[in-house]
Amino acid sequence: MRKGYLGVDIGSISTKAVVIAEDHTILASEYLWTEGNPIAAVKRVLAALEPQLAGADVEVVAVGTTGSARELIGSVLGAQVVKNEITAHAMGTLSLHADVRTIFEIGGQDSKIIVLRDGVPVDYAMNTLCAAGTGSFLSSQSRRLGIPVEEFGDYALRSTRPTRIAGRCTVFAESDLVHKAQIGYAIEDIVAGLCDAIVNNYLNNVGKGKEIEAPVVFQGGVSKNVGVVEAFKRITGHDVIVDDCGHLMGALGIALLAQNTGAEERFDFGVRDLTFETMGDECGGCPNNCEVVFVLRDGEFIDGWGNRCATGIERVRRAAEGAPTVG
Amino acid sequence: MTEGRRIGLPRSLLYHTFHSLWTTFFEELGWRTVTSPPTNRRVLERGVALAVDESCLPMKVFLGHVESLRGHCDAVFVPRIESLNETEHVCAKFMGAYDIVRNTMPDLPLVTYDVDAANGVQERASMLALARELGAGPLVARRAYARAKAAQRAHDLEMVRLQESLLDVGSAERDHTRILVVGHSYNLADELIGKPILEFLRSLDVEVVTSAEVDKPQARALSKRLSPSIKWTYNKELLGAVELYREVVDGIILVVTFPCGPDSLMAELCQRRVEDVPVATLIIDELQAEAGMRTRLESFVDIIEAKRHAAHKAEVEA
Repeated sequence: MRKGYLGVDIGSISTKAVVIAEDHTILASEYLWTEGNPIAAVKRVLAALEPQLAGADVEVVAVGTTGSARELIGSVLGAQVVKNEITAHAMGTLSLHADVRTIFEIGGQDSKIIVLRDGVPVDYAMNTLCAAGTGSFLSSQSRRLGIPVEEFGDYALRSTRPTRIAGRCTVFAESDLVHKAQIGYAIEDIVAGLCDAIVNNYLNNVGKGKEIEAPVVFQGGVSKNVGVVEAFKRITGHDVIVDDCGHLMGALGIALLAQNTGAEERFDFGVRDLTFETMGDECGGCPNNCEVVFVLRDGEFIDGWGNRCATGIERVRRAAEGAPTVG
Repeated sequence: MTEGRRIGLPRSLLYHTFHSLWTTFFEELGWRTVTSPPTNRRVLERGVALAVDESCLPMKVFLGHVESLRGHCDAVFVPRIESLNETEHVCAKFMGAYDIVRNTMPDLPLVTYDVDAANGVQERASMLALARELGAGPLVARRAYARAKAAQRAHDLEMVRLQESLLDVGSAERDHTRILVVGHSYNLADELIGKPILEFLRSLDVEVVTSAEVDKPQARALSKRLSPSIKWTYNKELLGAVELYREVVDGIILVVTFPCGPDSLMAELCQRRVEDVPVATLIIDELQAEAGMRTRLESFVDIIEAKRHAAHKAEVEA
């Protein structure tokens, strides 16, 4: 029986997971939409991973979670390690490209840059509140143009003279885009202009003041858009590496971190047959009125967070355990 | 007003700097002091409702504190502070706080004193005038002021001493990552704004040093190395704290509240001029999402620790 390590990266838009062997090879992987329900998504991920491991004689002995739902899914899976996505992405990418010096990452609502030197992350930046220039920006523009977002990159590549689009803000970009269409620009040039706008916006925001040195690796959902990749190459003057498994880097990184903890506990895929329920409650114990969220496994309280003090969790725990089991 | 015996102190803005001075002063004059509770959601929500939209977050918090003292005291104390010495300024909100409160809550009894040292209005004369207004004779007033100043000095020295005893431990013997958190005292000491940041860092086993406990005159002098021309007293102290500690910490986190003008300048200045230590800026507003704060702090600490480990490994191999 070989040991395996499960890493799950639950983002706002997509959920990614891998099982790796002790030598870091990927034994199973899955990528699917979170659809606003991280628990259901993680159950589907587990259902997809288990058959891939059939016959491989592997036992998962440690679990790690990352991404914006990392705490929730960490509790559901009983994870040994729960870590932020920047660290996870850096770890995963370093395992494939030990010499990487810059990581671009553009996801559904986040964009980030990680600067590494000698195999160690030394600097990073993340977008602020605004999601301009991320995947959700691209998909809303593609809807407006009536082009499936998957074909966006091909349209951009057919353009010979990209038009200039203001990428600073989704609202302005949209009015700019409509204006450019109305005065007769070809749709290909508009799409290519949008890809340029994404890149310029990225470099002027999260990339501001960072030294972008090769090798550059580009990850996140938007890296699947060849138009944006080409724009990055042209504008930065560097070759930009996009791995086929680039979308799995967070999951791979967190699996490696789970392996590194050394803590082991046999993981049971049967966890997907249990009923997990999340409930949110306003504590009401003091004027802070914290929004406390907690998870029940088959009606039993397993974890909760969101409280600023210990009493809040105890209060909801008592309420939860007293409450009738649902589902 | 002199019949009342309770003065309300909003636990906000300069209270976090001058509470020893103020509480001692009023108590020496025979008044009881009532301090508003640590900031909570309700205080913030009230403040947001009372303030104009463009107000900065600390001002919104401040108005919430003033409002929460209503009915718990005979008068609320809000000073009007324009400059603390001849060559510097303080942020305009300290200048405007009294008038903003008076116009926002016209029915609320207030007491105040003015300090505008750049234009000859000194703290001592103003506080003695306030004491007279509160019914104290000249002797009692002078004694109250002297004791209040002594209490404040003792408090400031104690803070500096505590911080320095922490820093005595040499970097080589230190297991923990040490981070300097730079921000105005009214932000770092605030239950809702700064405390969650400091607590989260400590939960990551980070040794936290803050700009709030810095030796202020020393810091103001040192700030010239980073910026010879910055005029705001409190930002000078923050820059001075960066200068004072940059060699003994592993990273610096600047805590800035939205949309602070002086801080945005200071943060940019630090990001550009402090090249030997990693610097991160955290901008907090009233819509704060704790998850976002945690992601940014945790990854910042991870990066610093990865660097320390790499440096340590290189040392061992060499």
